[in-house]
Amino acid sequence: MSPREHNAPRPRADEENTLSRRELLGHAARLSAGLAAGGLAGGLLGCRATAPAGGGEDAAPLESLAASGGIDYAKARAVPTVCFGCTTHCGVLGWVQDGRVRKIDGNPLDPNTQGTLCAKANGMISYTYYPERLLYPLRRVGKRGAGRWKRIGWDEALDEVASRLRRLREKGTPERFVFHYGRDKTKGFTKRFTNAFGTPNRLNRRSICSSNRRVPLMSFYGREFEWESQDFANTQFVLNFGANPMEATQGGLFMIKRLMDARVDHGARLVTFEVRPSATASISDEFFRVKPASDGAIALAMAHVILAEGLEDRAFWDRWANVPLGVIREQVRPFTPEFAERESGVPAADIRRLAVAFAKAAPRCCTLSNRGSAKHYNGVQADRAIRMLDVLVGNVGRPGGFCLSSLRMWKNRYGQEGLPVLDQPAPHPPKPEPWRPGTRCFESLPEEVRRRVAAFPPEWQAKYYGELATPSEYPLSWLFYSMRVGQLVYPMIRDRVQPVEVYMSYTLGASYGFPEAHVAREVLADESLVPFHVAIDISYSEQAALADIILPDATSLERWDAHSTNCYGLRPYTAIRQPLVEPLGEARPVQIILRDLARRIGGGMERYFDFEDLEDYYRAWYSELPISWEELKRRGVWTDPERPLDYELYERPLTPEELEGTKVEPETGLVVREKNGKRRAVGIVQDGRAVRGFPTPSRKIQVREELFPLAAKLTGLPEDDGNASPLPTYQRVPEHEDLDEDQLVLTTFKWNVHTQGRSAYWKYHAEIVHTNPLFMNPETGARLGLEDGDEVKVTVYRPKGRTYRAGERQPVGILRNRVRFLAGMHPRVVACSHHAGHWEHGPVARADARPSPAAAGTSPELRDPDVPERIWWSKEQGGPGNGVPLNDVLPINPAPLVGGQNWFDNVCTVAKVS
Amino acid sequence: MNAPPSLDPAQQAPLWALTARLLLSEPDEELRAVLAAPPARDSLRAIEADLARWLAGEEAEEAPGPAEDFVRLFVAPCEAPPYASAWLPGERELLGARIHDFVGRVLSALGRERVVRPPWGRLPLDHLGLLCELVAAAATEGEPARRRAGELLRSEVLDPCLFPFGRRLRERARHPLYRAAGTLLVALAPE
Ligand code: SF4
Repeated sequence: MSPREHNAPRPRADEENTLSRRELLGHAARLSAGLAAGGLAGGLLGCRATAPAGGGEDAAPLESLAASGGIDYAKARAVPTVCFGCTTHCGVLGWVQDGRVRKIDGNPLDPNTQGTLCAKANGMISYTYYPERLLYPLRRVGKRGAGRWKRIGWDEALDEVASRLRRLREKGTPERFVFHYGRDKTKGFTKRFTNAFGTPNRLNRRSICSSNRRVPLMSFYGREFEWESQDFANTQFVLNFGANPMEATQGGLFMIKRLMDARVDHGARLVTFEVRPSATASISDEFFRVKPASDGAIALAMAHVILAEGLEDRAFWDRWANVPLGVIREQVRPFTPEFAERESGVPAADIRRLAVAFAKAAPRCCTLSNRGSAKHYNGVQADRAIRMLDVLVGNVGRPGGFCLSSLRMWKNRYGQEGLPVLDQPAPHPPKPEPWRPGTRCFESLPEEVRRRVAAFPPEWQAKYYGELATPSEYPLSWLFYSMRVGQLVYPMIRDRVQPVEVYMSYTLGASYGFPEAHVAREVLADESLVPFHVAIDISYSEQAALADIILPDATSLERWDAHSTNCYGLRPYTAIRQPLVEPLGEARPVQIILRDLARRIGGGMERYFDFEDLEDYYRAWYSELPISWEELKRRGVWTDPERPLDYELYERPLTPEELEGTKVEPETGLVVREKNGKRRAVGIVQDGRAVRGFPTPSRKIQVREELFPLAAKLTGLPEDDGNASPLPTYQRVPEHEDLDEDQLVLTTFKWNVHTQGRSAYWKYHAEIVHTNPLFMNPETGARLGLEDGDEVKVTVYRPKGRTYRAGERQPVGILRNRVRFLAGMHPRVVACSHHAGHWEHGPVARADARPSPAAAGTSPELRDPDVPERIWWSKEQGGPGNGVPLNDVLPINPAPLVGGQNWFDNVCTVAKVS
Repeated sequence: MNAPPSLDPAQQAPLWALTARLLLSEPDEELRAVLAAPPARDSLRAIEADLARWLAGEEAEEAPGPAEDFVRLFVAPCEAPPYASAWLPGERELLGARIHDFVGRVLSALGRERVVRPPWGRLPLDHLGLLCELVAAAATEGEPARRRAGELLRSEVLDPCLFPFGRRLRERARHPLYRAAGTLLVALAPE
């Protein structure tokens, strides 16, 4: 029955049931009495009593409700899938009616979200039905970047790309094909393509994002744990060093959901150190406004207090840390609370008080940090200092503490024992060969690079694939796994470190979003540096504007993807992204695009793409799940409800099968297995029992990590640079050392309705936030002679540490913006968000009505009455416009050894535009 | 035709609590045990004869149980959306905004708040399970203002949903437990 029929004459119940209504009500009365006797009446599931009541008089009746359009739930179907509004990947339900997705809800069966979702999720509808969405392949006409395009057929597009790629394979130079992605969540499908092709150059943007926060964690806990899973639901006390899960942070929704519940339900406390009043800082029990990049000093001072007060968990430390406690005592001795107060501005008394409170709450306490602490010159060591606090108080893996849960696709790795194996269907293409000294690729590298790599240990050389993929100055960007240093790719191409012949951008916004994004644009515009550029995306972006061919991708509502991530409920689960609707126009899922390219390229690579139907491919991928494929599609997620929670994974005994063929090393207690001449520790003997320990070389928590000094030595980083320290330490950011009176630190941030550079064209989200003013403390404004709303000139300078173009006096760039006063900002910090100022992505993002250069690739059928008529924030309609492209003026600034972009170190001056 | 027997709100409370339970969580062994106790069992069997086997714990193990129906009906593909906004004309295009506002005030009047209950998290304010629970709770309140809030909630929001929702439930349910629930809700709908 349609809702419109609600008020229509209806048959009575007794016309549809053999019992009369009277009889039914009689049974109902007896049932009710029986239930009351059975004790059901009091058991509440959805609400609980609070006191005092708000007063029944307030409860006004509803007004009469008028019927009209919207979703017709009688027709609409909810289909579970996985959100792609951001990289958190929540399980969601998409309501589909008449072949169109109408609304996105949370999927209550997703154990991570528990049915919640954020404001961005419905952006998937905006981008799927955006009038300027790309629906047809395009070829440029005229000069690259001139913005003139012609629609072509898929055959023509694929033939051209394939013939360029085939030539590289035929010449024996497959590495000259570079596949560079921004948002690739195909869980290895694109790698299948690059491996089958034979290029190691599958590049990403991880260094732009999170490598500085992943390396500290992996250095402590092993490759399997590049992301942690604090047990927020059961915690009592959280020390948050600059993370902002309320509006940013991968997994933020999972975290904040549980954290808010813990605060409401059992009074958990949240303490935040931040440079600006972020949404998370604002809802914290205590918010300390700190100097940028001082988190490490605070954490080390807390460690100092915990040890001085004897509040450490000695037994846990001795059992699981890889360094004696005495060594740490010495290491943290100079980092007193008074020292940290000078560095951070947090009163020493508060540091003492909070350190004690944290330790006393153990094990129901945990640290929280993300880019806020990590994206600095000293950020990797800061995060290591923060991670050490959890080890000191022994909360690791314990209820309410700092837990770890399986993250990646299930392949019987650590923490995945007993789970079905989920893998792409066979056959699997081989990985490309490493670039060892003597190989053709290696010998073509610049001499300085060859010298450096030749001195690397053999196990490092076995992971080296040239400078684009594995830059030798940043070995920690690829020793754990291939995170790359994306922001150096364009300078390297410009400097001809490695030749590129075919460059494929996939959902990449480097030309808008990378630091010094103009470098990406200059390189991509230069056909002598990049002879052929093909872009795959759903919308016409600044990156696609510099392509020769554009291929339209299906959106997340139109395609399949496998999914797994860590669960903050501490029980692994998997989910499936499934198409809710057919791709619009001629858009095709990237998997089909790559399959068809592989078949055209041939030469053997086509045999890895021997499937017709994507659903069959994913069905095979999930074939080991204990539920049927249909059931997985119906629920959207699968988890084993009987599986024990991931507490204390390290204490689980090794099984007889795991012990088979191993031996115990007497001096270390390590249980090791030798295979093909390689020795690998699989566990450790503790109290006479072989247990798994952590997935690190020592099977302990590597608070001391010798990779740092070794990498420093082999890359020429002086040993007195804090980044070279094997133990957590603190040093100031070099360019913050002697800031002039008029110099400020320019930090960036993300809004809860935006997802980096990819959301500015989602119409509802852009309507909420479309500009990015420069936030400033009013006192700072007064000191600079500014008034709220003034137009200012922001000049940004180069960094000073051991990094790209450090110390050059010439500013990186100048930006004009409006200043917005905000109490709560640190007085030496200004903040500007980074989603705005697009000059492509259509009228919503640009906030203008100019016709799209890529109109030939769009469809008039996607007309939307809001676009551009209702873009009230456009300057044409008297609005403020769409903000400024901030990242163009931020310096490329990779952290030593790791290469993560130090987004939050920028030094600037601000002056009024007269 | 004789007028059907009327139940006063307090007498109906357990029925609403049962409905809430059926809409909010997958039926389990504990619930089956409560429903299988004699007086409840007999009434349920009278309402839906096919329920006898389940009540007796004799359903074949491989047969789809009521838990499977729970997911299909109320989660995905959500064949009987358990949201008042889905059944009240005019609310759908507002994403249930007015109901949310109203129920929020009823919660406050009753001195209650939503709790977190996996797998649902905090329920949407228009979830019929929550509404049934509030109606059940209000019916046994001593304070007249609270009882009145419950009555308002029932007459303004829950009652208008009972017929269309109950009918949909009865149509789409595969397990007799949910068919019985649909039949009961239709019967309880005001004339
Ligand atoms: S956090 Fe929001 S946008 Fe990101 S995946 Fe979850 S619901 Fe989607």
